[in-house]
Amino acid sequence: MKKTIVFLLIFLVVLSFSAAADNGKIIVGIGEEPDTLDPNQTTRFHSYMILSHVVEPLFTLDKDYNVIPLLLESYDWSDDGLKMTVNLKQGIKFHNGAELTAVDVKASYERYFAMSPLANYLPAKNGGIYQIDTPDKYTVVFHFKTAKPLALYHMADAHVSIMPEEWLSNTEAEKIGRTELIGTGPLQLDEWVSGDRIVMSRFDDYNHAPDFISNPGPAKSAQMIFRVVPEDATMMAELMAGNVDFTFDVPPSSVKVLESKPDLRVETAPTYSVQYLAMNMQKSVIKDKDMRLAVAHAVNKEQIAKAAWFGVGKKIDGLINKATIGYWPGVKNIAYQYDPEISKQILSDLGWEDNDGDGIREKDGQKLELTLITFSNIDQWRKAGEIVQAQLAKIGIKINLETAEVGATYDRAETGDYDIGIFRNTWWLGQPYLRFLVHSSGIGSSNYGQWSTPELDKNIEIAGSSMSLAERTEALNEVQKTVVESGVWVPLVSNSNIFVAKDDVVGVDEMLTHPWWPPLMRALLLHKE
Amino acid sequence: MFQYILRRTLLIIPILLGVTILVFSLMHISGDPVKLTYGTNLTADMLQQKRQELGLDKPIVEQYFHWLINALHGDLGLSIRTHSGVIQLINERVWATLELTTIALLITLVVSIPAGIISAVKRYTFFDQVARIFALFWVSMPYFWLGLIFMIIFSINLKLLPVSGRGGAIWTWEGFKYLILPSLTLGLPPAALFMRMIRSNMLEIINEDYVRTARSKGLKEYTVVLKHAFRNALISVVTLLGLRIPWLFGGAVITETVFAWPGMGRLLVDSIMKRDYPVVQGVVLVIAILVVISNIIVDFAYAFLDPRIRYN
Repeated sequence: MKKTIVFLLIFLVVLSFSAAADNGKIIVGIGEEPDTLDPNQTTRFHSYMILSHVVEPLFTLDKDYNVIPLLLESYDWSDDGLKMTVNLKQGIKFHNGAELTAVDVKASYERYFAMSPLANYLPAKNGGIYQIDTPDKYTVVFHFKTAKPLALYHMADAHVSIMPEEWLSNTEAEKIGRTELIGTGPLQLDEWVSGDRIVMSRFDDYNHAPDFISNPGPAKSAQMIFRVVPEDATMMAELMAGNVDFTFDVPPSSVKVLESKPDLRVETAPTYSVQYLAMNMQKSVIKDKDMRLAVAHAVNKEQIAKAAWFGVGKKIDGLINKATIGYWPGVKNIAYQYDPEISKQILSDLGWEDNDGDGIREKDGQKLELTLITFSNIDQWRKAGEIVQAQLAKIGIKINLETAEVGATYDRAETGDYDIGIFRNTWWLGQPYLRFLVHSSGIGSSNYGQWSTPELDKNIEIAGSSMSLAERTEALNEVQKTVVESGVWVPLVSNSNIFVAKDDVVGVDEMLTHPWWPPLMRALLLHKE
Repeated sequence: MFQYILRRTLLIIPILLGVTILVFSLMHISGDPVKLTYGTNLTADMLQQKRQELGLDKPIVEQYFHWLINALHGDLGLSIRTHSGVIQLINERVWATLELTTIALLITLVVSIPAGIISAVKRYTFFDQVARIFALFWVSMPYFWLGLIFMIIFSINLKLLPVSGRGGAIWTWEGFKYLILPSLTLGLPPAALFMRMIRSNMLEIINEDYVRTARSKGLKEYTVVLKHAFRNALISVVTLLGLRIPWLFGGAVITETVFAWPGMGRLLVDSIMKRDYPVVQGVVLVIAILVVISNIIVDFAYAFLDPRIRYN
């Protein structure tokens, strides 16, 4: 018996030691494994968030959304806006020891144009860069077919990051972004164990962080390990057991529980993602503007934010929100407010009445029934669908809620097989985002309202092409106004970014000073004392 | 015997063909992978261009035969999502699944065989009653729930074992400790089933004449139980083993997800959710091969256990 007790005690001591924390590294829990870390191939959020620690674009965004140089000393536009000359910072090193030069920039941009599914605005085919010259080692000249006033924003995107030309030419395509990734970022890729973890270590030669970050480099933590934890309940368990130092992948429903844990810090911040109702203008009932307004006034967005997003999401008025570049504050003055009495009056005026007392209005023998589609695989969307169904039932509209997983829902949205849909989109830059959602070129695909006007199209074009900032702003504001007033799109909720950190993680306060906590700040600042 | 082996081996071909046709058809009617991967970023024209690049614009029969011919040449294609080779992806994950399922199977056998034998020999004793109650408890446990309970007890409250993930090599403590909870989760529920089966068979056998004869010859009790009774009870255990192996891989899908164990099960779930056809096809093919091989081994084990069995 004594032997057994002694054995058990030794066993427990060994286990306790094995669970001891390592202060030299930060463990970041991620809910989804990146598809690839190749910046030119991925479109996934998680990939972008992780590869941004390793590779960097020429420009970045400061706390006020201004585009500022990251890898360059200066840049200069020609008067006609068709030529941009970039002078690179000297002495910036890649992780393989090579120095950043103009040929690396040219090779990276050409690869981006050739491979990236996101290369829409900058390539020559859309009036963008048709030639890149490298007159000397540190100078790059971009030649544009047409003036591209938003080019700098797109050049600040991590998908157009700079990688060494020689390494790109000599590395097998399958290895890039999988077993190897070379950039100028504060962390270097050490190992990717498929399905389990991505290990990165500090790049000691990093020293060119922008001024808005207090630490110019190198990173304060020696190692950052991204652990893949796909199940929400498991992520919660990891946080409670103290095995994860930091995560931005917890569901809104867990925020209250995590906030009650004294050793955890929970923070939220607005995102640029938008959940909205889209009314299908190809359908006869919903095509009537008064009917759309009846629906818009009957939707209680606060209730949706509270019940479906557990209070972590915020009610929004426009199709782009405060965190997106190009947001028009005036949108809140024209948004249709929640007032079901107005909805009831509109429906009565239209001749829809509930004559048989079953709670559903009818007209000319036709019941007022509409089909609402949304995604089934994420709780928030499904719940939002159920809440809208209940809210519209109160004004006498029967909603047939049909949920399906993402691919099937998009298929239906594309074919117009619905009356109303709840969709979600995310983009940090207003003009291309609205072009994608409401331009006539998107009818039958990304324009889920299936509606546009020549005036709307014209303003979207101006907002993306005018060299005058005032003209661009005015046009984009006009687009936002038209979108809301039309009632074709009813913005609902913008979910918040949530991050959870252990209380011994230092650097969180400074990270919170930036509106979207960029990966660069995370890599440079987070550490344990 | 040779004919039997040949016949069983040839039977693998239609089974695998059937599995691949079924999976291929189901995947293709369930959604567009290009829309799912790029849906909110690309215009309709660009999406169509992507479909052409991936060959998804061709008729489904043509796509299937194209895949099949490549598969016969050892090429399972490229993942739509990660752009990596499917064989490479499977190779990165298959060993983790084999580690998990092997250890889980060992737990099943190590727990169930002694418990089943003792329960039968000590029928209606305190041990038997407790073992039967526990068996009922374990056999009713869903893997998902059991895994979370283990996490709460051993990882969060006692802080003895890691919550999830995979450590180093399993012959080191650093690696093995990550395997304990997932393999217990996967191994204990079937152990309960096996234990009940062994107990029931042993109860029948220990009342047989030849067992009584063995006892009357003065053989020691453990010799009677293990050599004479248990060997005959093993036939049904092996049958159950053959039936449970596909369940083991099915359970691994859930267990790997709960414990973030980087095996093929999770790769399969991720790929199904993302409509990554080539990876789903490849993983299902590998799992089907493993299941078929396991069942053939089980069939051969009959001959070893019972020489009366003649395969012709």
